[in-house]
Amino acid sequence: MKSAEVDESYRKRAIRAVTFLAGLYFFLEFLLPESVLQTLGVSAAHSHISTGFIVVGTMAFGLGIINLFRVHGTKVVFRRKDWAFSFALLTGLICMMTVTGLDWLSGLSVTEKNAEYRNLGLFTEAIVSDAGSSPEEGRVLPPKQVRLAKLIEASHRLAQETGSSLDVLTDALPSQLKPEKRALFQQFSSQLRGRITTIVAMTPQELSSDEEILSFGRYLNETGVLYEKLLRMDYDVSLIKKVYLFFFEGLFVSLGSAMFSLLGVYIASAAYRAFRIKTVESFLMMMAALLVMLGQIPFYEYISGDLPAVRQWLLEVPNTAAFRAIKIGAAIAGLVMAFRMWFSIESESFSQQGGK
Amino acid sequence: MHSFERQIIYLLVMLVVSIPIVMKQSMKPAKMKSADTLFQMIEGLPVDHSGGAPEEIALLALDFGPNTKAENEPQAEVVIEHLLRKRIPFALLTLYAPGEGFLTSIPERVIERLQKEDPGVRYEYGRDWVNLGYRPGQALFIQTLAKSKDLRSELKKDVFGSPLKDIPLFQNIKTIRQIHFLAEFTGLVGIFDFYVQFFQQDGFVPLFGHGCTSITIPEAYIYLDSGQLNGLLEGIAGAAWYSKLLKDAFPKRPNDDALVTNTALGVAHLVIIFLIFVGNIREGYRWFVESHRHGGDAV
Amino acid sequence: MSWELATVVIGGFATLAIYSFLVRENPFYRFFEHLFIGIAAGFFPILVFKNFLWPKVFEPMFGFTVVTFPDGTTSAPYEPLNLLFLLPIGFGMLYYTLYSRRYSWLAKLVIGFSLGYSGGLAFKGFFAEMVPQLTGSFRSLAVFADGSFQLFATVENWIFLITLLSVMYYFFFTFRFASESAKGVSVTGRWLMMICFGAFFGSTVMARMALLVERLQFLILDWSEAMGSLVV
Repeated sequence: MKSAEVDESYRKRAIRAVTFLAGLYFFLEFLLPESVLQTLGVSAAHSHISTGFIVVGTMAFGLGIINLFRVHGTKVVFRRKDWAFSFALLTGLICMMTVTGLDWLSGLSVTEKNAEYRNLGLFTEAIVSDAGSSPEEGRVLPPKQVRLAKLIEASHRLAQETGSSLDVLTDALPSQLKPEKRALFQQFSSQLRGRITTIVAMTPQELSSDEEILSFGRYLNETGVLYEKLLRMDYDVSLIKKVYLFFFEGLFVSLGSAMFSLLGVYIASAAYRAFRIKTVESFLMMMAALLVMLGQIPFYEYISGDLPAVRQWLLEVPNTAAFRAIKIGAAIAGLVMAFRMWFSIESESFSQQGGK
Repeated sequence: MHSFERQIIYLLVMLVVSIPIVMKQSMKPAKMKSADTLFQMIEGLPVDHSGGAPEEIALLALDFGPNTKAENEPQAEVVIEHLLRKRIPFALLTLYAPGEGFLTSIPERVIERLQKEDPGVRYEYGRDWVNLGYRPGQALFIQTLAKSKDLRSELKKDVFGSPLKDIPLFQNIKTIRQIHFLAEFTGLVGIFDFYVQFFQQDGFVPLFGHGCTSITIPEAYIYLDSGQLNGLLEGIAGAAWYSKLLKDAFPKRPNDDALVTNTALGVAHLVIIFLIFVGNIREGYRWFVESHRHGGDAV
Repeated sequence: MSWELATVVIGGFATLAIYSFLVRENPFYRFFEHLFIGIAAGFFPILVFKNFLWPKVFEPMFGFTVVTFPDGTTSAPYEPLNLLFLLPIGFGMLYYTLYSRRYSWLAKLVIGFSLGYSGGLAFKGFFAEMVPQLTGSFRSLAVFADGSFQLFATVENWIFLITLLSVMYYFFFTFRFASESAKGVSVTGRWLMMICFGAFFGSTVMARMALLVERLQFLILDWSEAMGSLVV
C-alpha cells in the first residue's frame, strides 16, 4: 500500500473515532442512571464538560469574519466590480465590532467599580473566617489587627475616590436625565454621600467583633451596588451607548425588519397569482385558509361570531393531528439521521476526502 | 404577470394597510383561547410579598431578532408587563445573538410606560428582573442549565458583568426547579424544540408559555395538545388579545400599539382574501374565454 | 441632531432603501443590503466573547476570579484545572487549518466532533419530545362524561385519529399502494393534510403581514414625526 493511502485511511479513522466519541458522551449521559453518573464523577463534571463542548463550537466564529475579509477585502483592494458595496460591508463589520466592543468595555468599567467594593466585602469575610481557622500549609496570614487596618485604609481610599467621581457626576449628569431618572439620581446620590461619610469616619477600633466586621462588609457591598446604579445611569446616556443603539436599532433592526417584511408584499402578489382553486385539494386548502384567516382578525364579527371558535377547532383537531403525523415522521427521520451522523455513515464522502 | 401589475399590487397592499395606522384605528381583537390560558396561568403564579430574595422566579427567553420582531416583541412586552404588574421577579436571556438588544430595550420601555401610568411605582434592576444576555451553545447550553445544581455558578454573570451571587434576585435560586414559569418567544422552531427537549430536571418541567410567530402556530398546537406547552401567544393576534385582557384586569392601563397593529393586520388579511378572489375570477374568466375560443375553432 | 433622532432617521432611510427593491434592484438597496450583512456579522463574535468566553473560560483560566486583598493575601488559590480549557480551545482552533492545503483534514476532526455530539444529543431530545406526542395521540373512541355519552367529543376524537393515521400512511413511501382501499386511505390523508396546510397558509399570511405592518407603523408614526421635527 502506498504511504498516501495509509495516511488517508488513518485520517479517515481518526475523524470517525472523534465523531463517535463526541456523540458517545451525550448518549451515555442520557442512557446511564444518575447514580452511575455520580459514581463515575460525570454529574459533577458535566457542566465543565458541556462548557468545553461549547468552547469548541465558539472557536469557529472567526471563520465567518476571515471569509468575509478574504472575499470582500480582495474586491476592495483590487477595485473589482462592485467593490464599493464590499467596502460598505467591511465598514459595517468593523464599525459594529468596534462599537459593540467599546460598549462592552464601557459597561465593564461600571461593574469594576462595584467589584472594588465587593472585593472589600469579601475581604471582611476572609478576615473573619481565617481568624477562626488554622491557615493552610504554606500560607502566611498577617495578624487580624493588621488586616483590619489595611481594610479600613483601602475603604477610605475607595470612598474618597467615589466621592470625587460623584462630584463629577452631580455636575454633568442630571441635566441629561429624564425627570423621573433625575429624581432617582438625586435620591441615590444623597444616599451614597451619606455612606461615603460613614465609611471615611470608620476606624479599626469600631470593628471589634466578627459580627461588626461582617456587617461593615455588607455595608461596603451595598455601597458598591448603589454606586453602580449611579454609574449605570451615566452609562445609559453615554456617547458609546448612543452610538451602539444607532447601529443596532437604527441600522441592524431596521434593515433586518425591512428585509423580511418584503415577504408581506410578496405573499400578497403570490396570493393573486398562484392560489388557484382547480382541484379538491386546493379547494380544501382554500376553505381552511379562509376560515383561519377570518377567525383571527377583528373583522370576524361582521361575518359570524363563531369564526374564532371554528378557527380554534380547525387548529386543535385536524391541524394538530396532521401536523403531529408530519412531526412524528420528521422526528424519526431526524433520529435516523443523527444515528448516521454519529457513526459517520452520513458523512462517508466527507471523511473520504480527508486531506485532499 | 407583468412587473408593472406586480408593483400595482405592492402599492395597493401598502396603501390599504396604511389606512388604519394613519387613522390609529383599533378594534376589539378576536378571542384567543390559548392566550387566555397563558394569562390565567401568570395570574395564578405565586407572589412573594416578603420583600426578601425570591425563592422562585420566572425565566423569559427572547430568542428573536429583527426578522420576527414584529410579532415576538409585542408578545414579550405584554408578558413582561404582566409579570412586572404582578411583581413576579424574572430573568431574561436569549439563545439568539441578535436578540440581546431586546433584553434591555423591552423591560425599559414597559417600565417607562408603567411609571407614566403610576408615577409612584418603582421597579429595580436586580430585584424585579435580571438580564442574562446572549448565551451561546443552544441545546448544549439548555441541557447544562437544566442539569445544573447551582445556576449562579453556571450562569456566572449578568449582561453587565455583575456576578449573579451579588444580585438579590438570584440569592436563593439554585436549580431550574425554582423556575416556576418559563416563557419563550421565537420564530425559530429549532430553538423552541431545545426547550421542549432539554429544559427539565428529574421529571420537573416548569409551566411553559410560548410566544410563536403566526407561521409556527400550526406546529405549536401539537405541543399544546400534548401538554408540553401550557399557554400560547399566537402572533400579533395573541399579543392583542393578551393586551385586551391586561386592560380588563388593570382598567387604568392605556391602550398600546398592539391593538392598532392587529387592526391593520386584519385589513391586510382582507386584502389577501380579496386578491385570492380576484386572481381566481381572472383565471376563471381566462379559462372561459380560452375554452370558448377552442370550441369556436372546432366548429 | 441628537443621536436618538439620528437613529430613527437612519432607520427610515434604511427601510426605504430595502423597499426600493420592490421597484427594481438598485445601488441604494445593494449598499444597505451589504451594510446589513456587515453589521450582522460584526456583533456576534463580541457577544460570544463578552457573555461566554470571557466570564466562563478566560477569567478563571487567567486567574482573574482570584481576588487579591489589600494585605496582599488572596481569596482562593489559583485553580490549575482551569488550564484544561486550553484543550477545547486548541481543538477548536483546528477549524482554522481549513486555510492550509496540507492540514485542512484536521478541521474535519472538529466538524466531525460537532456532528457527533449533535447526533448523541438527538437521542435524548427525541425521547423527551416525542414520548408525550405519542401518548397524547391515544384518544378514547367513545367519550363519556358524568355517565353520559359525549357525541361531539367522540366525533372529534375519531376525526383526530383518522387524520393522524391517514397522514402517517400517506408518508409511507416505502410501500406501493396496491389495493384500492390503501389508495383511499392515502387520498384521505392527502385531503386532510391539505386542510392542515390551509391552516398553515392562513397563519403564514398573518406572519408575513405582521412584518409589513410593523415597518409601515414605524415609517408612518415614528419616522415621519422625526423627519417633521427635522424640517421644523
